[in-house]
Amino acid sequence: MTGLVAAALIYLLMTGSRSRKLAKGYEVESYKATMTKCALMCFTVVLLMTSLAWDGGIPIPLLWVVGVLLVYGFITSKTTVGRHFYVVGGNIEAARLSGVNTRRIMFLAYLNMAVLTSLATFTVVARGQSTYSSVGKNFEMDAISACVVGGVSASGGAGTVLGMVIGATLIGIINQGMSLIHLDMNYQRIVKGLVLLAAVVFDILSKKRNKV
Amino acid sequence: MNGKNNLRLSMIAVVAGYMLYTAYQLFDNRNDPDSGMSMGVLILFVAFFSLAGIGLFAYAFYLWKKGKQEEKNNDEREGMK
Repeated sequence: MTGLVAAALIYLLMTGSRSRKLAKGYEVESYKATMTKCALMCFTVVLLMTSLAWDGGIPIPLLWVVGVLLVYGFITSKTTVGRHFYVVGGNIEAARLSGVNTRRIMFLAYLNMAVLTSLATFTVVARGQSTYSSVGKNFEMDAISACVVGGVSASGGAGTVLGMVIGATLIGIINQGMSLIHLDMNYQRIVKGLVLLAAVVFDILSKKRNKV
Repeated sequence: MNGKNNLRLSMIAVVAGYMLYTAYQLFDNRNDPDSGMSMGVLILFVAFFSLAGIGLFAYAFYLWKKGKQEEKNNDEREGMK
């Protein structure tokens, strides 16, 4: 049921956005391309929801993740504050000279970081129903890998929520997959290290290419 | 040096630290009887991660020095004005 509602929402949002852009005279992709993208997304959502329904229902952490993604997707793409985050990340001096209140944006960015960290902590502790001092060890490395794989630049000013989701999913699949196939702990460390190293080297190289 | 460069080089330094930590963890587990990894492969990866860590630290240091130099040049230029 939730899957069908989500699919209907995706259809309405995508077609609505396309017709709004058309009315304003913007360039849009063909109707066929939009429908194909919409059908693929709806299919994935319905498939995911069906498999979750067979397996005890939607987990609460997933609802939190979806909520956070929707809120941050909206903030980063549709609001002035969201655009200011990108501008400050891209060039803080240019942003300041253009009239952006950079101190306020930096304050909001750090505040936002604190809120998300607390939320992640609550979710992890609630999921495990207990905690100990080393919970979350090396999570920061997974976060850095997910960000860089998802197209977020270490220098700031680049990246999207969708890219972040793809990066995090990829890192999650790698971690989960290695545990499921009972891969030796040493090999798991090597794979994680290589993914992180590749991500950082790619970031350094792309930064150099942009300079040239 | 601006905050943006600072952030970037601290991220590179953190990753360099993680590379060295991975090398240490691999080396520390060398006598683990449950590990199916041969000694040759283990030494190879320990060396690889150590070198990667040292290389990234060196690169972060280079970026830091470069930033400092640029900052100094900018200050001198503004002083001349």
